[in-house]
Amino acid sequence: MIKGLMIKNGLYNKKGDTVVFETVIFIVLNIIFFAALMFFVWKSASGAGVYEQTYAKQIALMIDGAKPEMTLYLDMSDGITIAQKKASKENIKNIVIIDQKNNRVIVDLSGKGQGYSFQYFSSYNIKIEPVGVLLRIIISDKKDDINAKT
Amino acid sequence: MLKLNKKGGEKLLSIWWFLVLIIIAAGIVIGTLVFYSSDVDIRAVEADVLSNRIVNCFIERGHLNTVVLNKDFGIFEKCGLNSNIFGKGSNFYFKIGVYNESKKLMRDEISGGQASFLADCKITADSSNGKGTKAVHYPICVTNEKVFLYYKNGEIAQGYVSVIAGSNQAGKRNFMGGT
Repeated sequence: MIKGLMIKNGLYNKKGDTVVFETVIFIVLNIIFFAALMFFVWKSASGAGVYEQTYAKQIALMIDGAKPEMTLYLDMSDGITIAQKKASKENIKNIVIIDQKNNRVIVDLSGKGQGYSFQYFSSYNIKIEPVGVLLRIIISDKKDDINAKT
Repeated sequence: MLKLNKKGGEKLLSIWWFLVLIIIAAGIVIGTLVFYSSDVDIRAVEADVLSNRIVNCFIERGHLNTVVLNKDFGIFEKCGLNSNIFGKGSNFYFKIGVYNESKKLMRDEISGGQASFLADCKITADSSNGKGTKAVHYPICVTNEKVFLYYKNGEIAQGYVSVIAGSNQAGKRNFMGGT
């Protein structure tokens, strides 16, 4: 009866229901949109590209600042975590490559043969070995290698 | 009489709202990609490492390594530098002067790498001091001076080594397995 009176007097038109529904949908869509954007930003920050560049430059500077008969260690736990998600098991062993012919450090965490390379100016012999999450860098004089061979 | 309920107006406004959202999303995505794809600039650090390497090669325990005064002194071999890296089109440069107590050269200056860096570094230095135009892709040089002791006519004298070292290396991202 009350409802009938309200309809008669034009007071019951359901506009209140639709306004609330539309507003809720609008807010939810906005939240989803901005959440997706924030996820994209977070993904970029924790991506392989940033770590590849950082590690390549760190290793090159360590090599250039070192002397023969030095052994250096670099913690690569973050890079290995990324490589384990992106690269195959065989490629994890090759995430850091020392190109002695061109004097370049190449770090590839994605395992796709890409990565980041940085040059060093030392003429010493460089040998790298993964030791758990650490990278062992062994510096030796090239003359030691020649003597060892003879 | 037509009843005007303004519902059409709200639906038209939502198109503009989506356009605004797309513009905001594009701005954030582009800004993020530009920020995280930019290079970390370590040229000054690298130049410093190079100058320290040379200084430590010339001075051992506070004394001048007398081998450096020989005319046939091979800096690349003695200081562990790869001569191919300091050839034509190099990203590095160094200039070394060994001076006695009277500030006179004890031997000819030794230099290697890209010779144009000496002038280019002055442009970079002026740029960072606010003079001239902004030099972004120019090399960065550092000057390192260290005092040493040496024997002159049976007496201990003091001189210094002055090293100017420069770097303009930016690093390279490899695509499709290429270097």
